[in-house]
Amino acid sequence: MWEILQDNALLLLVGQYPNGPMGGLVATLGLAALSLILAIPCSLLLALGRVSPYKVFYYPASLVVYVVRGLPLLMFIFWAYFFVPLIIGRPVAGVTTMVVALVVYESAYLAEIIRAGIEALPRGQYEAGRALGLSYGATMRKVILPQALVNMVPSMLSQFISTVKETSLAYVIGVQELTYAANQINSVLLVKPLEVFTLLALTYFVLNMILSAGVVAVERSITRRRSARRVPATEVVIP
Amino acid sequence: MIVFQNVQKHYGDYHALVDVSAQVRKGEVVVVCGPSGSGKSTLIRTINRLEPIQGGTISVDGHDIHDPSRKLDALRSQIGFVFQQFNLFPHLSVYENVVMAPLHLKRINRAEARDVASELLRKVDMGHKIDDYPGQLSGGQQQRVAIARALAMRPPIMLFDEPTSALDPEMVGEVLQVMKTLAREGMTMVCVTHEMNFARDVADTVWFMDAGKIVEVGAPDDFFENPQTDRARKFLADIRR
Repeated sequence: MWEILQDNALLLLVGQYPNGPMGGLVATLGLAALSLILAIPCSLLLALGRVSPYKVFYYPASLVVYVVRGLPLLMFIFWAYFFVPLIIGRPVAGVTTMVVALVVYESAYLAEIIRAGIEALPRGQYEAGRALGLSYGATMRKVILPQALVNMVPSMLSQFISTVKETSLAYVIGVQELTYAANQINSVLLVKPLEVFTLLALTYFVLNMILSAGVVAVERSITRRRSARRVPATEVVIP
Repeated sequence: MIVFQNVQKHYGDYHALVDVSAQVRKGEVVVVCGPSGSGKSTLIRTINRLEPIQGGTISVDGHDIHDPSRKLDALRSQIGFVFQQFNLFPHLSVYENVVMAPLHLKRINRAEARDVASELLRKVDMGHKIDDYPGQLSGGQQQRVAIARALAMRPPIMLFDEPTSALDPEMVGEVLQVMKTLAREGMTMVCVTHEMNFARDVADTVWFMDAGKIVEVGAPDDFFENPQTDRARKFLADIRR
């Protein structure tokens, strides 16, 4: 197995690059990161709809969340694969397809994380903003979201970990990410599937262990900050 | 200045305010007392529409607060509200808490904001904590900052919803002192409180509530020495025990 890794490290890391598109582990991380970054603004809008007292925002946002949560990711990938080209009228790269599917999918899950973060704040925070004469929007912007978003950082990072795993589904539409690279190696070696796919499993596992350790570190630092009586002014982020 | 007319408030089947009519004159200090669950907090929260009502009207300075077409935000900025749990914004410094409303609503500049904040914080004796964060302050200090924040839009009316109930006993005095100063300056105030000495010293009028109704209205001396109803007598006996 060690030998397979030594021989194919570069393929696992970057795929065919520079002779082909960027692939492997870098593509996996890139897909996950890009999807999450694009999903954050979408999920914020969905979440604001989900906590909105106005039914015109609440119902459509809830519909999106329920529909997306009720369907498997693979189905979104197929939908994006077949319908995005129809909608925009030209062929679309596999990576784009995967990003579209992931953004739709992650937006719904992130929206629920953000909603939980907003609803976990004491109601008094909202009331204090409104009682001062701030509008609903200003109260959200200045009072609620700055606190809720900080509290949500650990959940968002967990979501990132699950997104990293979900990128493996991009294999089915031929995106050259980590799983695709492993499969290429397997096709070349032919007789070592156990070793190759164990190597693949270990790669995902180690990557996500590292990310999980990051989540724990962030959680600790937030807990520390909350419980500290004396907070140095420089550590507090002022939006 | 504040007029309640036949106000009705329901929480589902529970009738929280039953046909309440009363008024507060300009400059008057009203203390609202009564057993827990009697509707005191609900009543004070209807004045700036933190709670909706289902019948009657409440007008502040001639404006019908519960008129659905009313633009509330400007009106609310002219009614200071102090909460039992302070509700300071923990992610913002004392300074940013105090200037939140004027900076956002009056569009004053940074230099003016600093002046406003230091003046108000001096008034509540918190000038030395201007750059601290709420988490670094004691309960009494937080509540004094919350009062300064409520004063920042220069409201002619201040509402206090059990402002000392969440405080350790040794911190009650410093908050009441600030409230007394405000009362002496002629602020129109409605205070829900169990601090009967404060009511005696500062209030012009005491409203005694029970089961969603204002059952007794009187000057503090009359109310404490000579309560008219059995319920008020029982309440006073209970809190003196």
